[in-house]
Amino acid sequence: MKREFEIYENAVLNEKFYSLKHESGLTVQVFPKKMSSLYAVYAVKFGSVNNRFSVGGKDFRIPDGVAHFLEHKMFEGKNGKNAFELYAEYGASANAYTSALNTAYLFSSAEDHEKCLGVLLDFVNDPYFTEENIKKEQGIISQEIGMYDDNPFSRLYYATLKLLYKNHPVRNNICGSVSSISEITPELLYNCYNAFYRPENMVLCVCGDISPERVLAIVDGKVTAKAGDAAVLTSPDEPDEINEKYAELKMDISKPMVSIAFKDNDIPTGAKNVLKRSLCMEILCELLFGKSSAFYDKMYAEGLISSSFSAEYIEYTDCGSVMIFDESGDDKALKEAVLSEVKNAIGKPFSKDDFERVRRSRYSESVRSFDSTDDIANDMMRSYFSGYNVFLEPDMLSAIKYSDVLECLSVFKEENCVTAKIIPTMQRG
Amino acid sequence: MDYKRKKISDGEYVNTICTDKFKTAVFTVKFILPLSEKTASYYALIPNVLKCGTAELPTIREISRRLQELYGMELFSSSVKVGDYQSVSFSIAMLDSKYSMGDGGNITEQAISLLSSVIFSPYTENGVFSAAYVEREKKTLIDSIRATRNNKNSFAVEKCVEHMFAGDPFSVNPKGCEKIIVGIDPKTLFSYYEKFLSEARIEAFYIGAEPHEKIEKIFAEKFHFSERNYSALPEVRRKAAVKVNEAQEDAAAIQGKMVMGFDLGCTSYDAMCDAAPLFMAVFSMSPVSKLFLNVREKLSLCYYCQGVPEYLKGVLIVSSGIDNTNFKAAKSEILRQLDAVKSGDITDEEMFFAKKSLNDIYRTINDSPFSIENWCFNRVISGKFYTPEEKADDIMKMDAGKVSEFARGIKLDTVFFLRGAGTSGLEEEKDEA
Repeated sequence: MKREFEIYENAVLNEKFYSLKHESGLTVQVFPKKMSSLYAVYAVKFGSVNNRFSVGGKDFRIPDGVAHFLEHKMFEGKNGKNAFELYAEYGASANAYTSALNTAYLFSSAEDHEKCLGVLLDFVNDPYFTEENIKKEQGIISQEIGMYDDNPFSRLYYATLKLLYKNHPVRNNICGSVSSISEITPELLYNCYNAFYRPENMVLCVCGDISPERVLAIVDGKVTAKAGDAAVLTSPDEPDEINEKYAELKMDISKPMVSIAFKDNDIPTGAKNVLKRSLCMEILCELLFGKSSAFYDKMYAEGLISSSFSAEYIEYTDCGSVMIFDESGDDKALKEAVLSEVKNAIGKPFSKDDFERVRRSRYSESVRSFDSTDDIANDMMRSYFSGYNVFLEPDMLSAIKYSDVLECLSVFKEENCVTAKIIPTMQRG
Repeated sequence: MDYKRKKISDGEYVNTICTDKFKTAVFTVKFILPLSEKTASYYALIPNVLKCGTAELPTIREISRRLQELYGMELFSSSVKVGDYQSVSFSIAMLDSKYSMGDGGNITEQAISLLSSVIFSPYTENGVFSAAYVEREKKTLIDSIRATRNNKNSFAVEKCVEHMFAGDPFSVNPKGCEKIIVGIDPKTLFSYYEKFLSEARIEAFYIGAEPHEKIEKIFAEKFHFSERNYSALPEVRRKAAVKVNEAQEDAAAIQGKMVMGFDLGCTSYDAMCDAAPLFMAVFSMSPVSKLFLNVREKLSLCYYCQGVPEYLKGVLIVSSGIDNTNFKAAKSEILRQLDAVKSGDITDEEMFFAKKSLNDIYRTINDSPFSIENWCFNRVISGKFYTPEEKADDIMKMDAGKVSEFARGIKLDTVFFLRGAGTSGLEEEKDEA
């Protein structure tokens, strides 16, 4: 096994990072940067969508919310000390999060970087689950679920995903539900841990004032290859058709909220193509519906959309959709206006100058994300799991063509369109 | 921190922090005025109307296109409460010129010039703001005030502050008040805009790679205030707690929110307050603090329990998301933890963790242009100048006695409980799969 880091450089950004496949199977990426804070993410490719898989030929269908539950439980150590206390010794601040695709454990430190890295690797590599500590966690996570259920944006988002997707597990709440997490046992957590928390399914991304060799020295002493079988994921069987057209819920909010979404059935294969599609879609959304568009200008002037109106592309590797959000009562009028704007754009598209302006603006956003150790480490992690390197985004933004964006217009089809709405429980004067 | 502060005229300053660490440069102009019910709504509405159009770029669309041409420069504004003041900010974040695709020219100068026209050369009709723009932005502002209801945590915090500071400037909402906004017309708004330019204390901040002198020169050229009628801002006044007030409301939400408002007993003007960050670290700010470890971890009384201090006003707001049945237990546990700090029940380990954690926070402030700006603003407004490193060194020298002494000045003033419905009313969303 070679011990030399591969170096990735970007001349425009004047940045570089180092990547190495460690003999344990773990990928280690180090982005040296002269900052006071060092930021490290130790992540596993196990998110809320991974609820069907097989291990050693045996099929599993796990309850929703296991990845998130594991994340919570990992912080607890055998001696009753939680990981927060271990970091506190060095003044570092630690956290973790679970997304649809990954679970990430992280810290930010100003001193004692190597010791903090040691803590990070130690506690994630050392699970401890008992009947008792699981029962307690069920209580805490139920409160967290309650908090999200009180959040109208979260409720509208999941309502929209449930309309778009029949089977794809991205439709399920990341935390699961009170009833799904009640099925969790120590055995289940250990099975999932052993199947997913394996060096070859993980990455360590570090950004800050540190050399790759120093990071590697810590990894050498802490990470070894793991025996046993890895999880083999079962791909979700998602048809092109949407699940349902319309959903409506009621909450104690000040104004109706509406989400109009279009399911994208033309997601290409290959990691780079997926990224390209996603960036083109973002540019298209801005061109059609952003503050610089004729649509926004007219609709906002006439009071038909509110200042919270937004249109964005949401991508989860193998599924994606355009989501349009507004706080307004008339979802039908909004949908009609959106579709008519798309029809206009197909007949008489935006100019090349418009495209150039928006592309440049999005490029600048990408460059500016290389200012913080936090953004860089997280972006490195996501890029790695998606199958490319963190410099691809700005490079691709320099290369995207006008015609690439025009092609994306076909996503806006009536038959792919769903509407979710939240109506205020009471009218206020 | 290569920091320079330059007085341009009475009540008008430029603060520049020169660093080539970032690919982003930030420039902010803050207008600071006394917070009062009468003027807050006007001052909150002004930036929103100004962002609708300039004399040269008369629509939001044209301003947005110009921002995109300048490499996706961002323009944002806010109206927030700082002690008894209303601080209205206009900010731009821009790409450092050397990272442009080659034809960027000097982005900084063009960007500051655009911000200047947004503030000084608004789009007008008959010498005042456009009636259509004013009406539209009134509606948007009212929507955003009403939307506080959508986030039950901030809604409960706002309610607690209203109860605690009834009759005091600190109770005024810096977004304005619906009843006043409804009656605003373009002509009156324009006269308030002139008053705003004339009377505010002005603090500009730049964090980026350009030298101090260059930014000072650009500011002096682009920000031309006519004759100003500035008088120094009055000192912020602390409100001393007399007795504990309790209030509650029902909400159509699953979780209950309990908010406790404390009088800190001193403000950032007082030397006593120097120990406040250390107290906060021991009491509530980190995952090894007393509130987190006891109220959440040990007793599972809440999902979150956090304290947010306002040192300028001398107030601490502790908010928590709780089950209705835990109201009494959570409240008494929070007070029990405060009493522990007061009586000196602080272990060496707790002190060590608190100091380490603050040290980490102070030492990393220089890693983001936004946190640098925020640090400098707080120094400017409290009149106490020191660097994050100096503050960290100062904290390291303090002992537990100092923390207890500070804590003994803290008094509970108000408890506000937003009672949840207890159940979600949601059908279990189960999958057929």
